[in-house]
Amino acid sequence: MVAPSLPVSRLKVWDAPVRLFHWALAGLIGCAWWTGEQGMLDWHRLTGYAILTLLLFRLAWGFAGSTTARFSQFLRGPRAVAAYLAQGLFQRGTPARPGHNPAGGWSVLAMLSLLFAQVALGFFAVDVDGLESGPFAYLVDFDTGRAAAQAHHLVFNLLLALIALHVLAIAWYRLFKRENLVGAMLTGSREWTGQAPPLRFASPLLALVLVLAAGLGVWALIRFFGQA
Amino acid sequence: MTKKDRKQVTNSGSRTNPGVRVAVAFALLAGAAAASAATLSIADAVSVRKANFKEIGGAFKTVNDELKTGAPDINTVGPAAKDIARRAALVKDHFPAGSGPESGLKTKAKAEIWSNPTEFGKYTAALARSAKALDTAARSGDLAAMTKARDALGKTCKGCHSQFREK
Repeated sequence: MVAPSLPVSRLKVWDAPVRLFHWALAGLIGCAWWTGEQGMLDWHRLTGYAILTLLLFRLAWGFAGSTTARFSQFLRGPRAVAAYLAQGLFQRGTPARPGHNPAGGWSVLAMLSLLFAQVALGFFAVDVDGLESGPFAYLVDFDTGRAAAQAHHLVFNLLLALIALHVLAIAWYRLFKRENLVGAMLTGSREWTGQAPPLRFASPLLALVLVLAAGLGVWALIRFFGQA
Repeated sequence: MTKKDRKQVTNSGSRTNPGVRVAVAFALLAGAAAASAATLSIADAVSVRKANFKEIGGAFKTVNDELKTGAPDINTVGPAAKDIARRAALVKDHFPAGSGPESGLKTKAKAEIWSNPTEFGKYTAALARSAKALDTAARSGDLAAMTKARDALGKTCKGCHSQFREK
């Protein structure tokens, strides 16, 4: 018989869908930046559709996914956020609960919201020549399309700021709290002291179905309602 | 005594010739007026240029929106293409000396436009030419011809902008 709980053990925190989502999104944001900078607008649009697919999947996974992926688990009240920023951020060792910390949870929501906004703005954006445009720019006039393109640039800078904060937090965890968050996002597990909390992991098959459904939805949206 | 005589008498004691003084005063006034007129016309040139490019962009969007449908409405493409051709022909005169970044006005025109006028001239000529070609293609109503002309015009926009326009 296995001992009921070891003082120090490995705990699985992130399921494979969350990890794949995270690294695919990071890669796609890089692609979106590069293709946008290089004026490869065909690829830029495709990258945007892929990002939207991921976002829709993550939204669904936030309600139907594993415990640590759920919004209800990681979006905590202001008291929890304040306590974390005052104490948790400066304490070493196993946190009270696995998964996103109370500030990080809201950061996830902010990141997802900004990305949704970014895709929506890209949908209506028009370049300065009136040549390249998002799939729904045909619904708006040139000035509106230009305003959308300018907001698209602005939101990208906001995203960069949020990503910088994310990387800074990871560095803080590594240097001060001596926790390897990057490793956990790669392997899915972290060191855990004490009683392992009960975590439920949703079926990867469900994740696959949700990704396919999201992809199909995005494809249909562009195919039947967009013009690109 | 005539008026003229009196004036001459009154001024006879002055060391400077009164005619010269008046001339200098007029010259100064005229110079100031000319300077302000020049400033005004540079500001005008920049705003006229921006407005014209904006109209071209809007009309080109109209053309592109139609072509993207795969079955363009010729009654929409035609006037837009005609408008682009008319406006494109004006662009070569939209960059008077002094209307670049040194004007202090809000413009994305790079100084290279004036330091490399030969290359820039090629683009303004290509713009007028390819816009006219799009107009001709739109008159023909042939989708393949319109698409080809659109691509050529788009390439001209992009090529010039990447070289001569601030991002």
